[in-house]
This record gives sequence, C-alpha cells and structure tokens, in this order.
Amino acid sequence: MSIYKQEIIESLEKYFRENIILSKEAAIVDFVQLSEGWTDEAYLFNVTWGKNQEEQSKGFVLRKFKKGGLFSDIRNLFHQYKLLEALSTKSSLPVPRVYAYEEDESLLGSKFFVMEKLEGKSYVPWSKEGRKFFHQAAAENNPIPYQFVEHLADLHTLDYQSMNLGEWFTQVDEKHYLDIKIKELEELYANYKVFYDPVVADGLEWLKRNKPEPLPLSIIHNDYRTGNLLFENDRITGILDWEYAELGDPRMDLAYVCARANRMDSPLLCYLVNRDFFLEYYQQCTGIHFSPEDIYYFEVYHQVKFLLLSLSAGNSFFKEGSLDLRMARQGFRFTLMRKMTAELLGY
Amino acid sequence: MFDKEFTLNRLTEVIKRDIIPHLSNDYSKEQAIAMVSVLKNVNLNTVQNYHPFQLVNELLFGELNDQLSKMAEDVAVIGCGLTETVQTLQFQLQLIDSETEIKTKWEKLNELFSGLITMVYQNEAELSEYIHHFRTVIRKQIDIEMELVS
Repeated sequence: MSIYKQEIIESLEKYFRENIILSKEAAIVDFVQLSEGWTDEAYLFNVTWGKNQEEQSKGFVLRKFKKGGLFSDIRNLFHQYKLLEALSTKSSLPVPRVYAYEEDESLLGSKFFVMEKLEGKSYVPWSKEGRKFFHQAAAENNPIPYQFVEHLADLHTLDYQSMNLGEWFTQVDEKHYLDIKIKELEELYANYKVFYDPVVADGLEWLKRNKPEPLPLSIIHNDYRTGNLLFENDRITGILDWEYAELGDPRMDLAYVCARANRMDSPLLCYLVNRDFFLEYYQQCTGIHFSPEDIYYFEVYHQVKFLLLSLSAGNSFFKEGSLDLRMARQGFRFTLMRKMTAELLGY
Repeated sequence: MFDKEFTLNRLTEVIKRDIIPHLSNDYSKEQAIAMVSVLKNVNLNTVQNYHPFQLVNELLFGELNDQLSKMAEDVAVIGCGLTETVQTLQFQLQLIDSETEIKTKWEKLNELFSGLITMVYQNEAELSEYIHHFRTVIRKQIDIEMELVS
C-alpha cells in the first residue's frame, strides 16, 4: 500500500469518526481507488463500526476534486454536492445520498464530499464486457432502454424551482442560455488553444448563427450516457457523474445521447437505444416538443465541445506537464474529432 | 501533431513512475525496463513526420492566395467594406510564405485561415458562397492530416 493511500485512509477514518459515523470504533476497510477519473478522483470503501454482534458496515464513495483535471476551471464540487442532496431526497431518481462536504483542503489535499455506495455495476460501453452487456440490455422486452429514457424524462420534468436550488444553480434566462454556452466554448478555445483551427472557427460561427428557438430550462445532467450508469440485472440502479449538471436546455442532454462520439460504430445510441425510439418515447414521457433540426444543432454543439475536450487534454499533457497518458491519447485524437465535426457539418 | 521526442520522453517517465514499481512479475518488469531503452532508441532512429504539414502548407497557401485574389475583386466583398482587410490578409499571406520552419508556417496559415472564416461568417448574407468553398479546403486539409492519426 502506498504511503499516499495510507495517509488518505487515516485522515478519512478520523473524519468519519468525528463527522459521519460519530463512533470511535469506525474503521475503513476494502479501500480502493476507482479507475482514475478525467475530472475528479473517486474512492470506494466500507466503514465498519460497533462491536461483536452489533457490528455494522456500510459502503461509501469519496469524490475528491482533481486540480488540473479536464475543465477543472468550470466545475464546482459544492454545486454537485448540493444537487445530489436535493435529487436524492426530493426525487425518485437513483442517485446516491450524500453525507458530508468538506472544503478544508488540508485534510485530503483538495475538497471532497462523501456519498453512499449504490448497488450495481458500471460498464465501459465500448469494452468487450460492455458491448456484451448492452447488446443483451438492448434486446426486445428488456426494460433497461425504457428506464434509460424515463430517468432522463423524470430529471427534465422535475419542478426544480420548488427544490430551492436557486442559490446553487446559476439562474439563466432561457433566451440567453445558448449565448452563454457558446461563450463558454469560446473561452475554452482561448484557454486551451495550441494553435488556431479552421474547423473550430467554422463550428463556433455556425453555432452562433443557427440557434433554435429556446425551450424552458430544466435540470440537465450534461454527461448522460450508459457509461455513467449503474446496472443490476435488468434495472438501472444509479446515475453517476453529475459534475457538469446545470440548469439548461433539455435538448442538450438528448443530443448528447445521440452524439456519434458516444456510440462510434454502434447503430444504437450509447450502445443501447434506437434513435427513433429514444426521441419518440422521450417526447411521449415529457410532452416536450422539439424538431430533428433542434437535435442536430445540439449535436453540433457537443461535437465542437468534444473537439475542445481533445484540445484541453492535449494542452494538459503537452503544455501543463500532466503524466496521464490518456490526455496524450485524447490530444492525438484531435484530428479525428475535427474530421467528425466536418462530417457532421456536412463536408 | 505533437513533438515526437517530447512524447516519447514523457512516455518513458510514465513507464518508470506508474508502471514498473507496480509490476510484481519479474519478467514483466524486465520487459518494461527494456521498453524504456527501446523507446529511447526509436526516438534516435526516427524523424518527425512533417510530410502532411508540408502538403497542407502547399494546399492552404495556394487556396488562400486564390481566394483572397478573388475576394479583392468581388463587388460583394467591396460592398461589405472589406477591401482593406483583404489586402492586409494578402500581405500577411506573402509574409507567411517566407517562413521556413514547416510547423510554424502551418500554424500561421491555420491562424490566417481561421480569421478569414470568422470574417466571412460576420458577413454571411453577402459572402456565404465562400463558406462553402472554405469547407472543401478544410476537408482536403483534414484528409491529408488523417495520415497522422491511427
């Protein structure tokens, strides 16, 4: 066990004894770091407390802010914590209950929060295991594709105003929402630009000039895909990775599910659902109306963002000194992302 | 796209820092140590592939030169009050052409091309035909640069 890992366990044990379990016997066992995230670090562990026949055990997840992670300058760990707190107590969505948020960076090196460990297993959709699982999940009569749509529909139709999220969520006028999102992309480009790129220039200008009519805003996940869900048998047991959630246009999430980068060579969206079924069933569940052109617009938005993500990753490896080789791999994918953007724009 | 020597050196650092200390099998460890040495030699025995950049430089210079000449005489461009801007871009293009470092020239041509695209979009109603042509140029550029992607 590395010293670093042992230090985290000791600090965390003390933290649990004083803030969460309130028992001097609380001990952390089976502590593992989940595959290191592109954004935050996550650790999975059990806490045991009590003695002999009264001994209890519960699974937890620690989410720790990763400085220098992708888009770290636009993410807010506290907002994520408050949103999970609201969703886990005021909605029926399968999201983890949260227990504590800690701002003091001296404890674990950066701010963090603690949440419950949900049952279920996550799959990398393009892995051999993931492809096999989603192939079965996509089969006729399997309820998972329906749940996939229903959870998104439930999220988008939540009465967020009654959830008192206002102070944690930036209140945005729906008429200016897309202007703000495009400005964010321009700022990302300005921050991470390794060189000027004609495809990015084309994509950003196209987005400015082809905005669809606004829709009322909803809570949106902004990273809703099968790789960010937990499954057990024929049930979705968890929706994870809420770091990009915001008050936004629900078509943003729909187009993200439709994005080519989230299915690559699969004919199914996110390796799970048929496109027509997904969009039609969603409309049926929510009553929210949109056109194919609207979804296309938001697909272009995401593709330009994927392009900038590659740029950000390349910047992290080649300029900021990151030794995470996934950043280098993503940086080298920049040309492929440009090609995908060009194809989506029709050339 | 990115510098070969820098990339291979970083790769070596990762193997030493993140991989070798965590290998418990002696054979795997020996292989990883050998990999570090092989990577150093691969670096010394190969050169950066600048060929696609050269091809793109030729493509962009030729296309931008033609399009800027056409724009300089286009009444739609003149009507948008862009005559001076186009002349400035023509001048900048000639300066870029004298650049001898391949990658620097490639970056400068991309910067000029990006600026030109933004300018045309700002006058989209009058100059939309140029967007279509610029996209065919970008497509040719991407097709060349895909040689650098596995």
